Amino acid sequence: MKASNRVFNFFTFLMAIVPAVVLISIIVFVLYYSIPSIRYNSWSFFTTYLWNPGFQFQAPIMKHGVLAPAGSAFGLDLFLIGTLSTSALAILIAFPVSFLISLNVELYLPSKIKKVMISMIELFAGIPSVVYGLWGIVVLEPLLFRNVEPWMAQHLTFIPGFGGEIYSGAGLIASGIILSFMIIPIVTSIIVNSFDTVPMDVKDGLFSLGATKWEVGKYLMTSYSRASTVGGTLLGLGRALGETMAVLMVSGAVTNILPHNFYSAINTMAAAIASLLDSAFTDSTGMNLAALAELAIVLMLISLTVSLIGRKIAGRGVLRGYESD
Amino acid sequence: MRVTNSYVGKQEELKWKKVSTRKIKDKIANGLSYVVLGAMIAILASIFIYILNAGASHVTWKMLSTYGNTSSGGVLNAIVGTWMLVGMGLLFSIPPSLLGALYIVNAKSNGTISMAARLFTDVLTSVPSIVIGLFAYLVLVIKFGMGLSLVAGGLALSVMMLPYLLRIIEISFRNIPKEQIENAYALGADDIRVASRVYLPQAKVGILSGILLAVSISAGETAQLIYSAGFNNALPTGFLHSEVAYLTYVVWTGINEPTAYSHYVAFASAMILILSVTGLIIISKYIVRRK
Amino acid sequence: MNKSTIAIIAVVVVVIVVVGGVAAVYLGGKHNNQPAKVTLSESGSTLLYPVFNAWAGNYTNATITTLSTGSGTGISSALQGTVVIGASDAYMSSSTAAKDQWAMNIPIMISYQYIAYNIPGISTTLNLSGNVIAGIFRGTITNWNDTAIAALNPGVTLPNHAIVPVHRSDGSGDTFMFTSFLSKANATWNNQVSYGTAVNWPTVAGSETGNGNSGIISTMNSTPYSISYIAATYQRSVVADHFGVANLEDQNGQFVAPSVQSVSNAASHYLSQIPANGTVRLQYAPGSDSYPIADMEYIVVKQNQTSAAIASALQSFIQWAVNPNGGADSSYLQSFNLVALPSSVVQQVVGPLVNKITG
Repeated sequence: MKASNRVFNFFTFLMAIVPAVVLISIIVFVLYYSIPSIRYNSWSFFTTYLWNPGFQFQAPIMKHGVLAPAGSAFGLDLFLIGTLSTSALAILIAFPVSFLISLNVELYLPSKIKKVMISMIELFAGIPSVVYGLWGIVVLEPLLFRNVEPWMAQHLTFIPGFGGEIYSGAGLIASGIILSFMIIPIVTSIIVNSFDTVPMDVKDGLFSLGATKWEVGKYLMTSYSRASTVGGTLLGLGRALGETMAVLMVSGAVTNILPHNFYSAINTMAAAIASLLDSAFTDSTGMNLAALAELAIVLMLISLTVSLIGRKIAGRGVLRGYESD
Repeated sequence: MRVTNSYVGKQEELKWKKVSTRKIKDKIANGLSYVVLGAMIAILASIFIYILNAGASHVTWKMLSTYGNTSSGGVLNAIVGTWMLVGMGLLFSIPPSLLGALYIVNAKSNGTISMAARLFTDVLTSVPSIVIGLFAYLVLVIKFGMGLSLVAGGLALSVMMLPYLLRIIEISFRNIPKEQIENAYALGADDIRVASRVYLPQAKVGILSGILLAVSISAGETAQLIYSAGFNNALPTGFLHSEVAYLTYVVWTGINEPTAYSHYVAFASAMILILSVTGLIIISKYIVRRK
Repeated sequence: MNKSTIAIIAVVVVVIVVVGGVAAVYLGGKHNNQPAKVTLSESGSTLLYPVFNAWAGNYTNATITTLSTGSGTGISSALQGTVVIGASDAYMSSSTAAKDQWAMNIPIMISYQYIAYNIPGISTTLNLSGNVIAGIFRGTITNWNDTAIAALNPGVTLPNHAIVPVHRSDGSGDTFMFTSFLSKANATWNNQVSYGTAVNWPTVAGSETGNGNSGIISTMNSTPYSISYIAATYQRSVVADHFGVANLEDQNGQFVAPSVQSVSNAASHYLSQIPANGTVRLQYAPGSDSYPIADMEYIVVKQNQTSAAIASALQSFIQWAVNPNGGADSSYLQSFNLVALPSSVVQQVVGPLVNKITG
């Protein structure tokens, strides 16, 4: 083999491992920054919900061998609850919507219109986060606050958590809705693609047996496409967990007050990192920054796990509505 | 109610009932799916119409043609800066994604490494953007001394462009008929020749649509740029230590400021963003469809 | 048009964007014929951001770049040398300052804040005191018709309704100013909560939070019977949303309305107490007609700049910024409800600090 070819191949190898190097360095770096917080907070990081930056204008204290602002304490429960509940709501909305859309474009629509419809749904993934946030602030929040949530608080009181006072429209519902818009294209495209891989004679056979379209869809869903649907939903979930700017703008970004009903302001891990980062820089001991780094580590662990499981189940990776093998 | 004793009649009745509930279920699902699809299209349209309308009612020619910030002046610096950052991101992410994809599809490569490379690439897409921003700030901007700059911002963007580009390019390589590649090798071509004569020309449409997608996604990013690119009231004056303006910053900062003008430029920027990003996505889809 | 033509056109477009962008960098930097101007980069306080923007557009002796990141990032960036000027709503804590012997706070202007309330049916201006506000935010005064509030407002019929205190969820100079005022006015607050850009807020049933001033305003808007602190910069929103703005009790027991004059008075009355390093908590000032919730806005800079050119450009810029004929002109400050430093403070505090900057 010619030397030039060997050099070329080595070069392609170097480039192929670039993503791995970048990912590992980000993880190592964040882990390194979080060490003081891991020592200082220990398990209470996972068992408490108060996020107290401490007295920055007083002398720092020493605990577990690390310096921290007096009175500081960090627990991620509030942000964890927010991350999980917003993502859960997003999936709760996105899954049936995506399924019905897939069913519709697969079985009811002519194939020409089908492509146009799928492309339009995929545009949801192209709207920038901040634009979603802007729209959330000026359109969605007032709508929820004035029209939707008062109605819910009046008529859905039989469901626990749906009664009580409403907040400004920012919170779980607004965040869940916007997140669902971001993941509907991902889930839809996976379900549609898995429907497409079902052999024609299976569909035709079912129809010739007299099955209705709904029955065919349900059957395909629970047999051929089950894995990709579940996997696709998890991949969508992976995207929702890490979303920062849009959620920061419409969640209410609360700290230290647990949500008391579905209309309360909430906060998520990613949004909290973004909104607390600035004041963390004023902490001369670096503990606030370390705690945010630990938050980032936990968030990355969760979203990496979800993405990996989703990838395993679906047997494929998915890139914002664009599918890889 | 009169009860019929006829067994046949009962069965007929049951069958009729069963058929009818099935039909009704189908009708409901059918109707519901149209309602949901229609609702989503309507929501999409309403977001577009709202942003375009709000932007169009505040945008002026002066805003598009002058430099400025969220308090006064225009957004030309942010428009140009966005594309400079995106271009920088492409410069940093196209070479590794092209060559990395060549490694992954090359049959002679180590299979385990190829698989690991693909796995890490996929996982890299789920790193939250604010974490990339923090990483870029503490490592690139401060440790490596790049300052808030075009290069630091471009690198931060390339971290998120890279996985999308690499995987899409890889897929378009895989779509090339195997015989073509085997024939080329059989004719004695080495890897460089196969790459330049078969892979690249055959996959150019796929590569291009991947690039357009990466461009459209990164043009809409905010969190990693706040801590790596900064903002500039004019164009940057160098690659390092000179801040760069971009549109998402104008949206994010403008909407949180007290003056009416800052809200106007935020809406105008949102309009420009949404138009250019969706425009690129549509072009990229069109190119793929043409194929 | 076949696919390869489209592909080529698109590649050309991308190349033009990349190459054109990079070329523009050089042209942008090297096209000027006059000697290159020094760039003074600023980052930090969202409150000062609009003013720096206005300055950047009008100051001609140096190029000013501005960045709205928040005070903490501003301080950090200035100390790391990422930017020249870090704008901050609060001075550096002594432990932060101790880490860098060249770090320096310079007062640049004065900001103040409103104690705003959203009480349906109340159109009169309420009188409030530090003790009452501390009680509300500590949860010891929980109803609007509490005797402590009634005693300050004779003749006003206060509603029998629970108070909803609202505070910031993000770290902020506004929180520093507010909690510092309460610490000075109320000993219990000082002992239990103290002050800072973010504090351990006492748990009060029914309290709410907001992210940023705009978040506070949106929360208050949707929450009747709420009370919070809002930067005077946001006057436009406070007026538009019909919030009440309280008059606050000063050290003499008089109730003072927020105004440029009463804020400026506070700074003048504190003059003798401002140390050479400029760090002072301007709240609850002595003297008559001193509005009690005001604070110095600072820029954080390093004494040892990287070059003599930057150092002298920075000195001239700061001197211009605090000069009533320059950046402290009311045309810059008035629309944001910010107050210029009294000339006595400029001469006795800012001047000596600026002279310390070297290249």
